[in-house]
Amino acid sequence: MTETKPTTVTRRRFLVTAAGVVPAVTAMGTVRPARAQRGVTLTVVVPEHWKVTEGIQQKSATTVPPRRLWYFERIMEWDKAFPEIKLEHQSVTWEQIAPKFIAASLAGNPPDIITVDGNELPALATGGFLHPLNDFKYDQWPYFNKDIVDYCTIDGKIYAMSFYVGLWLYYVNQKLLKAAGIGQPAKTWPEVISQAKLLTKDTRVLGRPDQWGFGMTMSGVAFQQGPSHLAQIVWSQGGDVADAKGLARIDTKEMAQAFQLVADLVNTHKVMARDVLTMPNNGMIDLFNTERWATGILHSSFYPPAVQALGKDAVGVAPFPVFPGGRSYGTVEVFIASISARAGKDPGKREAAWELIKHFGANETLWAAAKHQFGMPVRKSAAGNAVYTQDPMLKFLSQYTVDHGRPIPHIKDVRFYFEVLLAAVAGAVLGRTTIPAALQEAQRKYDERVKRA
Amino acid sequence: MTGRTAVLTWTARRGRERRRRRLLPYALVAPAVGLVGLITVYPSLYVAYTALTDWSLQRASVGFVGLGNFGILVRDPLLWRVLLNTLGFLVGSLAGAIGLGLLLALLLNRRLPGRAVFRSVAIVPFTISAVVVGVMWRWIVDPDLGIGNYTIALATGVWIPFLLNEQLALGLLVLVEVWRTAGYAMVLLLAGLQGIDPGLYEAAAIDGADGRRRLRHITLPLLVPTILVTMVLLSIQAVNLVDLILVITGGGPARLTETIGVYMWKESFVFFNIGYGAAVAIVMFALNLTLTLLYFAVFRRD
Repeated sequence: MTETKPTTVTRRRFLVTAAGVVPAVTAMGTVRPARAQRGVTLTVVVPEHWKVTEGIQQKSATTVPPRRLWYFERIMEWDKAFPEIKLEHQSVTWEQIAPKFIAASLAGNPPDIITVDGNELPALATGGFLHPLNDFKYDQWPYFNKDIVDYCTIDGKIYAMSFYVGLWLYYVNQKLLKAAGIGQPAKTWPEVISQAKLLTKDTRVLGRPDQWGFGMTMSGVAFQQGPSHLAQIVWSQGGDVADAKGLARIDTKEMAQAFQLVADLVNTHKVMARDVLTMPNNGMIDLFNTERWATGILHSSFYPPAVQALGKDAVGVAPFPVFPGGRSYGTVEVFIASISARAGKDPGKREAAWELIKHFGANETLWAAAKHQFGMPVRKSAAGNAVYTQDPMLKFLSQYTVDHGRPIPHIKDVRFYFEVLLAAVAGAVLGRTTIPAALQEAQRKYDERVKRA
Repeated sequence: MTGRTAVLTWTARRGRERRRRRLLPYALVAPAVGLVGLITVYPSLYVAYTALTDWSLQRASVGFVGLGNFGILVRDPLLWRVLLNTLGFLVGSLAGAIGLGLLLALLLNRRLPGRAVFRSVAIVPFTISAVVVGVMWRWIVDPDLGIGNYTIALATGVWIPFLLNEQLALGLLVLVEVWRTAGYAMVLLLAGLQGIDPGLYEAAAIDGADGRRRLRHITLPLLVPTILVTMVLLSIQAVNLVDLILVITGGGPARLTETIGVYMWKESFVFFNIGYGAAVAIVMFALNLTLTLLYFAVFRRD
């Protein structure tokens, strides 16, 4: 019988053992179990409400906001069609989605798919964070609206699939219009002003109207909404907000006219609250739905909640107003989906990612978006589909989108452009500076910034 | 083993033992130092390096620009506006929070009924997320739907444009920050008050000192270290504050209520100029350091 010698655990022995065990455990972590290798999991970052992500995770629509149900439905359809490709969703706010995606890309761990507002596309594409979609075989591009495909093309390569668009329109509260003896919604700015004067009321006699005749956000908090409206006013006069090189044109006579209009609505005619300069993001829907705004500029996707709050007969939608003789334009917000550069290079993921991109770009997404969010078509043929033609409002909106919709062109340093433009309009409306001086200063700041970059 | 060998062995062993004892404290603190180095020192040095580059998230290439970012920064008129706003916000919020916190601490240091409840309630605003606080106050002062503005108008007949006038907007930000941090200051100061020997007050009372004199000659001098710590903590927090201001004013109207924290955030994460944003962060660090040294200098002199 041999005697077993008890092993003494010395510090040296412990450290040597630990030195061996730690790398071994770490290495085990990098070995994927066989089950995970068979399927593919794609991470998708969305600027949707976190409740959408929650609903998708729980496969239950009960918590999903009604406007966002289209996304939920499309993902549920995806799960049925592609059970072997799992999706993991992450919600990020609209303003933060691009910086966070870039930061994650720089850290070497970006989500595989990003859905985002098209304004962010140039920064993401030129930075090398996206994979070009031309790499994949696709015969559907000719069926899309050309301006939308052009919008998704940076330096000759298509980097994004647009799945629907939305645009800014003139909403009126028909009930309040009728009470004020107004028959038809205004078409021109002089008509807007004269109608708004009839609609602006201080029913509480507190020295401030509790019903404003007109509203159009120019808030620095709302970021791109004010510049969208200014672009609509500039375009309607035949001007443009950027040159062919993508440099912003701020100090122009058309923009001066747009600034003057905003200042007049607030200061001269007193039909629009000065607070449009500081109102919260998407605050216009609360103000319209509570009848604080009798008329105003709202997004097409706000139609369903407005109808829910005020009733279908009370909500009227008309083209964006123009100066007499001008052509109406609706600034289109293009919602896009792209593949991260990393996923595009990963042989295990690139085909799955492309399948998802095609799923987003399919007609069925348009139908779902039209149903729940009044999302507008990005395919030429879609406007003629029964989904759009059977509902009078959808028919009007989809036709207006096709005929008058226009995305803000890709502007260099677009975020700085938004900021500098909104600061200028606020300065001019608050009387801190004259309109020419505000425009000149904003143009100087923008040019200086672009030159520096 | 000869006697000489034994002595040598003993000496060597003793030397090893001494060396080990000398190294032991270093070995014990090494993990903590390593961790601090990894999560504080390295990122700080990286920010300092980044400030010397033209790193933009919109470009793939990064170039070394030396002190170029700082040159642009000092020529930017917005920086001076931002620094002025920061100092105004700092002085207002610090004075308000410490003044109110001290008052609350003195009150709640007495034997009052419901003292424990009041102490808990006073700290509640500080436990709420700054974003939630911001959204709440934003709604209170909303000109169309806010209860605050409506109540003031009912009482006075005047609508106050809290968010349209930069002085009022900055005043509102100070008010919200004081509301949020006074309870925190109270907790720190209360701890300081409870550390003062009650015998000193008894001796002063025997000598005929009234409450005001006891406050001036006993409480405040002995509370100086706590006040100093509170000032440093709240001051750093005020200079670095981003979320609350972003939610309430967004830096507007016309970027007139931006503080240096918001300016840094916008440059880095809105306009994607990481290099320039890092330069602003260095200025923030310098400001925090200067203020801290200033507080220490003033209190040491007193």
